[in-house]
Parts: sequence; C-alpha cells; structure tokens
Amino acid sequence: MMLDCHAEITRIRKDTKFTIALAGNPNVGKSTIFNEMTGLGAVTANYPGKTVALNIGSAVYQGVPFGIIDLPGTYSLGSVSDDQLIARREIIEGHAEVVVAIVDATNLERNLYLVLQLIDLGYPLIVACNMMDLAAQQNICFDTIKLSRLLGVPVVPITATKGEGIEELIKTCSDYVDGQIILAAKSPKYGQDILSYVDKLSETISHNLKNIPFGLSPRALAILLLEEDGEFVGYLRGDEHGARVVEKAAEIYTEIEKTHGEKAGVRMARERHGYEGFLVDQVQTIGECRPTLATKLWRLSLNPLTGLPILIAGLILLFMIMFYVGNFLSDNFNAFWTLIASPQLKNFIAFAFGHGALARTLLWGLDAGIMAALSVGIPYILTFYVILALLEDTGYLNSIAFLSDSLMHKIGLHGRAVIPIVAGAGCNVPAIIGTRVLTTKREKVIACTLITIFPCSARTAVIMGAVAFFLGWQWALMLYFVDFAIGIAVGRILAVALPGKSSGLVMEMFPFRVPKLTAILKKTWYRFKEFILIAAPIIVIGSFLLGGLYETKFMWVITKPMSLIIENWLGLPAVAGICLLFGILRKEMALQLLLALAIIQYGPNVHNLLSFMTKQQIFIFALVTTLYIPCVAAISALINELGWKTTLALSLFTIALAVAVGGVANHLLNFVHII
Amino acid sequence: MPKGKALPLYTLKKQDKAAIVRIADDDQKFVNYLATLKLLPGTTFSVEEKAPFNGPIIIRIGRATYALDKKVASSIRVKKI
Repeated sequence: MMLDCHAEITRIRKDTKFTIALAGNPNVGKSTIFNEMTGLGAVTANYPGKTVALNIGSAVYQGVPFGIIDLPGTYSLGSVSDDQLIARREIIEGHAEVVVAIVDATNLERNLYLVLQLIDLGYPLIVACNMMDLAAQQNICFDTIKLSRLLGVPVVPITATKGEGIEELIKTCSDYVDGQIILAAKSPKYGQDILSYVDKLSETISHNLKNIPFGLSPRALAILLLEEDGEFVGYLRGDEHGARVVEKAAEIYTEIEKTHGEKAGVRMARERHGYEGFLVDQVQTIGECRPTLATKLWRLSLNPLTGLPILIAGLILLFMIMFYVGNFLSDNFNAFWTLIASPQLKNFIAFAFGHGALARTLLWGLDAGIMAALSVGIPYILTFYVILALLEDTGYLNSIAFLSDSLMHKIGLHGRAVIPIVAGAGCNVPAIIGTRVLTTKREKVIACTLITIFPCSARTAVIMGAVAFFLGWQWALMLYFVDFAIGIAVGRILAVALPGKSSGLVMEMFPFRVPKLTAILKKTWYRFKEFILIAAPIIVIGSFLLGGLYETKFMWVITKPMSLIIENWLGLPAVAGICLLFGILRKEMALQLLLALAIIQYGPNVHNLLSFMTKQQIFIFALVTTLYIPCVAAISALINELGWKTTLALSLFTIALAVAVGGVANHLLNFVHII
Repeated sequence: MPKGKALPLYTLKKQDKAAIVRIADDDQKFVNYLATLKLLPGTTFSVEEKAPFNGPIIIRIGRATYALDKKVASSIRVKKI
C-alpha cells in the first residue's frame, strides 16, 4: 500500500544518469529546493518498518535525467532518532552519487555541524547555502569562496524561494559526476589530542576488521566510535573481529574522560563546535541588524501576553475555515455528484448489470463509496493541508507548539499535537494524517485515539440534528462535556499505560518567514495524492462490503445477535443497530438512515424521531455514535499512519468504550429520570 | 566552581544570561544529542521567553533559538552571568 522507498530508489536510479541526496537541518528549505527541482511526479515513500518517509523524485538538466532523494531534516547524523539513522543510512548505502548539504545562511554556525559530520563520513559532498536573501536582510555577509576553500568543497549560494542558484547547484553536481570537478574535502582541523585518538583508533580498525560496514574508511568509523554512536558500537560488538576495536575505543573513552572531564561523545561534539566557530569567524561578518516585521510578529506570537490571545483567535479561525470552507466544498461536491455523476453511474450499472442485488451492491461501492471518499477527502483534507502547509512554512506552527505544550502534556502529548487535534473537529481524516508532526509512535497513538473520540463535523451534525433539535441545546452541551471528559481521561490513562517515556522537547524556533505559494500548493498536492491513493480504495471496498451485507439481507442476520446489546443494554430501538453499522461508512448516515428505516418500519408518518424514540434513547444514540469506531475514511487513514494492528485495537477499544458508556448512561438515566 | 551554585535552567527569567555548568541526565544518548546542538558545559546563552503554566522556555545560543520543555530545562544546570 505504502510505497517502499528502496523499490522507488532502485527504480529512479535505473531511469536516471545520477542521483543526488539532499541533506540538511530541518527548516532550511530542503523541501522547497526539492520541489523546485522536481515536477509533480515526485513520490513519498516509506522506509520499511519506520515512520520516516522520504521524498523521491527526478528532474532533467540539459537533457540528462537525474534523481533526487530528499533526506529527513536532522541537526546531526547519529542513531538517536529514526530521522537521523535513516538520513545517514541512505547516504552510506551509496544510493546517491553526491550529497548536497543545504545550510541556512542566517544560522551558518549551527548548520556547519552537519557539514563537518558529512565530511568526516567521507562521501562526495557539495554545500548549498540557502536563504541568502534573508541573510542579506539581516546584514549577514559571508565569503562563500573562502568557505569553499576552507572546506575543500564547492559552496553554492542559493535563494530557493526565488529559484536563484538552483541551476548553478545542479550544474555543479553534474560537473562532478562528469569528472569535470574534483571534490577534495579537507578533514576538519580538530584539536591535536582528538586527532591523535582518531589516528590510533583508525589503526586498530585497519588491523582488525576484515570488512568495514558500508565501505566506510577506517578514519570515518573511528570518528563514529568517538561520537559513541549507538549503531556502530553495537555493530562492532556483534562482529567477531570487532572485539579488539571496541576494547581500544573503551580505553580511549576512559582517557578522554580522565583528561577532559567529559565523555567522548560530548568531547567530539565540542571539537566540532570549536572548528565550526573557527570557520564562521573566518568567513562571516554581521553588520547592525534592525528587527524586521516578520521578527516582530514572531516575538509577539511567543510572548504569552500577546501570543495566547493570538493563538486562541487563530485556532477558532482554523476551525471556522475548516468548517465553513469544508462544508461549502462538500455541499457543492455532493450536489455535483447527486445531480450529474451519480445518475450516469446508475444508468451504466443498470445497463451492464440490471437491477439485482449485484447491481445494487456495485452501486454501494461505486456510487456511495466514491462519493464518501471524495466528499470527505476533497473539501476537508485539501483545506486542512493548505492551512497546515502555511503554518509549517511560516513557522507559526512552532509558536503554537510552544504555547500549548504544557496543556498537551496533561494528556500525554506535546505542543505540536494541538494542530491535528483541533483539525479533528472538522474532519478526522486530515487530523489523523496530520499526526505526522509528532515524533514518536506512542504520541501518535494517543493523538489518534483522542482525535477519534472528540467529535468531527459529521458527528456534530448528528449531535445537533438529534440531541439539540429534539432535547434542547443544554443536552447537546452535556453530550460534548461528557465526550471531552472521556477523551481527557483516556488520554491520561494512555499516557501512563503505553510503554515508552515522553521524550524531552527540544524544538528549534525560527522567525516567521514569508511562505512561497507554489511551495504550499505543491506540498498540499503531494499529501493529497497520498490520501487518494491509500484511502480511496479502502473506502470503496468498505462500501462494497456494507452494501453486500444489506442487499443480501445478511445484515439482519448480523444485527440479530447485536439486539441484546442494542435493545437491552443500550435501550435503543432495534433499527438503531443497523444505523450504527452504517454509521461506519459516514457518521451522519447513522442519523439519516435512522429516519429512513423508521419510515420503512413504522410507516410514512414517522418523520419526527420523538414519535418512535424517547428523548433518552435519542441522547444515548447520539452518544454512542460519537464514541464508537471512526468512519471508513478515518479507519483507512489510521491504517496508513499506525498500521492495521493498532487500528484494529483502537477500533475495538472505541466500540467497547461506546457500548460501556452508552449502557451506563442508559441505566443511570433510567434510575435518575432527568431527561 | 562548587557544584552547589548551579541552578536548573528552568528557574531563569526572561532576559537572563547564563552559562551551562553540567547536564544532570542519566540518558547518555540524550546528553550526547544535546551536545550536538551545543548544549554542553561552557556554552553561554540568553533566555528569550517563558511559556506560562510550566510550559517550555526559549533560549538563544548564538544565532540559534530553542524551546526546551520543563523536564529538559530542569536537568540543565547553569550559572548566571
């Protein structure tokens, strides 16, 4: 289902002359550069077994096709997180002929850390210095030619948002591949004693190891060991010839700690920071800088006195845009489908298959199913994706995360989770996909569970249409209150119950940037494409199944055993069982079908729910609809983000939760008689 | 410098300037990771902002700005300058 990145990379390498890998810190404009280079044909592919995805694409330069792999943004290469591991792995597996390190001209010092690591690894490297325009605005000048001389590799100045320098960058890569330029990176001049440790360890490695993993040079491996890198230390421990090397490394660790009073990994980092400071001193001059409007706005967004009101206003705005724009698009698409597409489809099916059970089942899948997929997908997801891309590219997302972090901690999440959770009030599908901003699976599971418990607009439609309409707004409010209380309780329980501690938050903040419209649109397109490819088939198949159950009358067989729960425990009328089943397709269908089936069962005079249901039953029905298993579209998004096992567990949990809460509420209300 | 004088970073106020003395965390991998971001003993920084309700604290090291949550910021011991 999800594209496999190795298969994609193999395919790209077959079709192109050479491949480049884009590496760099987060938020340096890597994606913008990637999007500038590739067309709309780029794909996002998953690293097997990980939640990290790579963007892979291709482009043409002077008639020559070349591939581009966009590596995850990382501050350093290492093995602390999946992002780091995979970024490094893709480089050392040699999938690319040359690595392009993208650095942020406004923060050269920190960005050089990764560059020095890449030089130490020993793979062909070209440096691209992005955001030259922002640097100029901040009165930062530097000598890229001198930097290039000191590093020993080409340094190409670019401004990706204006498309400047990209061609030059590609030309440099192409020239290297053609052998017209030579990349002779200069080993960083760390302190004498560290360099002597590197030499000693390299020697031990050369003498003892028959095969160095990934064809790394002994020096490169030595430095990785001095970093105390988990992946390579572990590898050597498992290697029969590695014992001597591990022993030597341990000796050196002890020496470093004795001489410098800190561990080897920290010492190595310190050496790199030292050299990076030296380089920056040599090439950079910063003049007087007056804060720009963007910086002023950024500070306002972070200061709690101004930032919190801005945030609340922003979240309300986000919700309203999703609700109104989403609903507007959804209604129009529904109208289009109902008036134009659907009749054509019905005619075609009737022509090809007649009017029997098979034909009607096909219509469930192709008519109702596709409509469900697209009328949920296009309106809400597109709207959400545009908003998300704007928040990411401007940098406001980080301000939001900063302000809401402590609140989110109470339910086992981090500040970044506030966006998908608020988006879930519009539609669960983009909200679930939006949990990608969270870094650990544990957080994603908690966030997704809460998103499915808190009501989406479809469920709000049920609550308004059933409870508010027939019982009054106070009872609708009561239902929301019960729902949120349950959600928060579940969040806290999961935060304690799920294994893994919440990682400490260290998040880079960068001043607001003006986003590029084409970058927003491209990002939105890629993400939307992904949804359509994965979710649509699941929704259509789910609709087929439900349709088949209904048309073959098998549905009544299934709902019979449910009657004990539906009628006895939950106190609902028998028809409610089927409605809840269909609510899996579209949540608001639960209510629509309730009315439709009631007419079938009780006669055409039944158009008012109160004529066959008590107020209590209406309340319970809406409560159960809000809590139980998410709709098919959301389920497909969950499978995509969390895998089918977790999705199954989550689905069963919500069903159990809905049944338990509904039953308890039913019996409680029987006892108390307040509705 | 006597260890007793080092305060948790989290106790600093907006616009304070300080130097990192040590990182009191058992997770060596995390300590090494912080080191790659230049969060290691000797580094000087200033406090830019503090979120309310035990939220994160934002510090500036050179031209880089980081938000650290209470847990991380409490384990970093600093001395005001």
